[in-house]
Amino acid sequence: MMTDAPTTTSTLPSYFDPRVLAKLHGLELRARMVVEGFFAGMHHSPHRGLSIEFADHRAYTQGDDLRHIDWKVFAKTDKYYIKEYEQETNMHVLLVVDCSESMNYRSSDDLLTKYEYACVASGAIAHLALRQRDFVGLALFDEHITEFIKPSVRHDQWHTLVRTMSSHDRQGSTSLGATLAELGERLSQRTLVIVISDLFDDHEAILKGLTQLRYRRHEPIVWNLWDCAELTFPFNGTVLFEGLEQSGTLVAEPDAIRRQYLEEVQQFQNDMRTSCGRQRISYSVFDTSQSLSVTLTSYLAARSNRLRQRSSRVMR
Amino acid sequence: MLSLAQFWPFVHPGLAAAGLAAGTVPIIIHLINRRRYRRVPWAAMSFLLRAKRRAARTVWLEHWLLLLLRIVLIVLLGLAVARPFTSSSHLADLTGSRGLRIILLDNSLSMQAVDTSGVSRFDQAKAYVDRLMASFSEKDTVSLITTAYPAKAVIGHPESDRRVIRERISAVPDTQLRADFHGAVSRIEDVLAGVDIARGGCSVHVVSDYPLHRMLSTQRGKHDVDSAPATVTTLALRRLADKLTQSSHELTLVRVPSLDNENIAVSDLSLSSTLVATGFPLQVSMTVANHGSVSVRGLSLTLRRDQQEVRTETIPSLGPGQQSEVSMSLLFHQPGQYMLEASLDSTYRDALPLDNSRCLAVEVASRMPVLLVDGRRSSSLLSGQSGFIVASLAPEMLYDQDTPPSRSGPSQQESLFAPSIVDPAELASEALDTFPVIYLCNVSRLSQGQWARLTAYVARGGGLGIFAGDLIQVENYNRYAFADGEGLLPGLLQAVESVTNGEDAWTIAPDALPHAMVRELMSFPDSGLFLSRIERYLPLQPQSRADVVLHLSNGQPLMIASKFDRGRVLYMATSGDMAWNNLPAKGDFVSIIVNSTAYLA
Repeated sequence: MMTDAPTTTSTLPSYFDPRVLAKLHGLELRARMVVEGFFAGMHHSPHRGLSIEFADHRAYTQGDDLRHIDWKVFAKTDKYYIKEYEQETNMHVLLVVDCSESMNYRSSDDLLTKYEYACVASGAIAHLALRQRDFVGLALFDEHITEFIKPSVRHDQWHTLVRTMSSHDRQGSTSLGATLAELGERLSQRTLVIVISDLFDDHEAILKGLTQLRYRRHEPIVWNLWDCAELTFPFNGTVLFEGLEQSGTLVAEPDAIRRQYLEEVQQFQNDMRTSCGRQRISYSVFDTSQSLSVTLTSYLAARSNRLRQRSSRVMR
Repeated sequence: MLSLAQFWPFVHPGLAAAGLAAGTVPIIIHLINRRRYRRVPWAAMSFLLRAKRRAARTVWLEHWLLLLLRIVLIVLLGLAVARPFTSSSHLADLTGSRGLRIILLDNSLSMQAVDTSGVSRFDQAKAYVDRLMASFSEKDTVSLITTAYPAKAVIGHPESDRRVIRERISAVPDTQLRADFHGAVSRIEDVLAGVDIARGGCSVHVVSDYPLHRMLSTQRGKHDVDSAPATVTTLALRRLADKLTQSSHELTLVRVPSLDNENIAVSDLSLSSTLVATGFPLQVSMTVANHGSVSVRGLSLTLRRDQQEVRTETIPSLGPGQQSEVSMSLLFHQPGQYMLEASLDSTYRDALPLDNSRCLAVEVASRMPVLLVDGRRSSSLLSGQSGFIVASLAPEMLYDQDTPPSRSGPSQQESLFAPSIVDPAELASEALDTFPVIYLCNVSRLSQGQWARLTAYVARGGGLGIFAGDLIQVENYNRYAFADGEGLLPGLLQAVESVTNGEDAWTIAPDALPHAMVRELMSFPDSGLFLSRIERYLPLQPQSRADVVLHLSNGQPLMIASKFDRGRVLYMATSGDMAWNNLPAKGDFVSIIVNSTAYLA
């Protein structure tokens, strides 16, 4: 006799979901959950030892391993050149996180603040990068750089980064332009600079800072964080808006100005996208209610893009 | 002088002021809402500030327009509830033209009702008229009509002198008379007919406690017709309203309010018979009506005769709008004039104490004299033309055939009636007014002077019965008695109709709507009345004012009753003896003669 066997299904919580992460305590736990969740979804590669990447040619000198002579170049030039390889982890990544007061905003207790979201994303990226033996550093800023940790692959680097982000107080207003200019001077290595901020600063100043980074051959990418309420403006009735960065207060009826507000936001994003596009800087808008997997995917895409560029440059 | 009505033309001025005040409500709500806001911390302040700057002009405009719209809507609603009005007098002020204002002031009995503060409805009505006068234009002319029966045009020719008008208004007395709206409407029509209404138009203001508006509402179909029967008052009022409406004039009905509407009234006091004589028991019918809004229990009703209590009845309960009829038997032993009074318990108090009692003057006769003019008088009572009629009125006369009744006096065996028989020639010497009823029995002709005397007699309130017969000269009757419709005869006499050989005689047809005179006989279709045979009759073509009491089986009228001025006339198309019919041989003949005499009396 056949009977229908009872079936049980269980749904594991998605640790990319900001609402799930908001229920977890501690940046370290949140970031680790994100990364573990990310890897749980990846296939193990069947190829090993291929993480060595060609970097450059140099003239053969006595004592060099003959296996590294590039015979194709010898055939063309009749000279011996040794191929130099560089491991992927050699990439320098600097996470530039905005810790101004405006990043403290969240529209719902179910969500992460923009700063928490930035920290979880940064922690996850740092974990991911360090596993790939990339150099990872951190810069926290508001009106100026408040914390700076030089990119490194030390074994306790991740904990250092997470501790720093966790213990930092958020206050002051955003001054991203000056911060980027200062960072450009501090970084000696060519670095992938990931700017995670709500960009509530002067548009021209931001662009100026990014341009200076580009000038110093760094590769900035900009992640513009928004709370979902900032993108939809879902208020009604009479509301007293209290500015977070000493920007004053405003009594308004949201229904009357919603259209104008959303147009302003859209205009800002379009301007940023256009300006960054001219500088070949990646600009992405993230909603803090969005899954964090998007940020990791975005990071990996940027990293892959950078490695591809480097490879093509060597081949030329 | 600028009156409140001119400055503030609303039926409810207080509500209008409240409506204006309500216009501040949106402003107050707006101010409260501005102070009642939700606090929200906000990061993207720069975007918000720029958005607000951009939207500022549009928001400001929408905001204030919306506020203004709300204020206007509320104020308009408030003013509409207060019922604004304009009158032709206001328009007249604008156009500088002169209008006619007719004031109909009710000064009937019910206007004496007083409320708890002691102010009568009549005083309130006068105060209203005073305010109304103030709202008229100085150029308006005013006419004043009172409704107490008979309605009177106090100012028949429109007057413009305010001092005179106010004096005449203040001189209008309150009365204990009934309201005569029918007459009042006629007076208004007289006023309207006598003036040339200028461009200022005409308005009629009826100030009364009577719910006249219900009658007009019925006309518009808002109420069931049965709820407001087509009384003379209703018809007159509707006629006036229609006339004014057609002429684009105004009719304003103002019902004088009363805080205390409780009223119990003795609404009717009547006798069962118009014949009141000694020794004949009489039914006195009294009706008590509750015009108020609450039930009354244990109401005592007392009947008094010349202030001596006859009997007291208790009405257990009388609900609002209900009426109760109480009947008592009464016997008069002595002839004379009596005063009957039906009154409620003296301890009972209501808004209108005057209608708590009702009086009726009764004249009690020992015998009623009836004059019979016999066209062919005989020494034998039943051989004459009036013999059977006399026998019906005073049967005791049959007992003494040797002494036929003459005008020398009635028999010693008295009955209710005292018939006297005379020749047509003797009629001229009779004092007609001593007889309440006169019968012409187959009288061939009368001179013009005799007809004129009879006509005057009936016009003064006398009753004349005419029985047909073979002697009647139709031309004489039509010429002097009918007189082209102006005389007392209720129709034109035709040629005599007779049954031909082989045909059955006519009978009397039971009528669906019998006259009060024969109503009780109609309940017995097998009675002698309907078995009688009519072989000849002298038809009369009745006028519209005439009522057909009995029909023949061929549809022709047999008995016709009619009012003539203050008196009554009855025409019987067949004879009063056995020559043309066998009706006198039937027992119902006595009833018909007695009832006819009662009707004519």
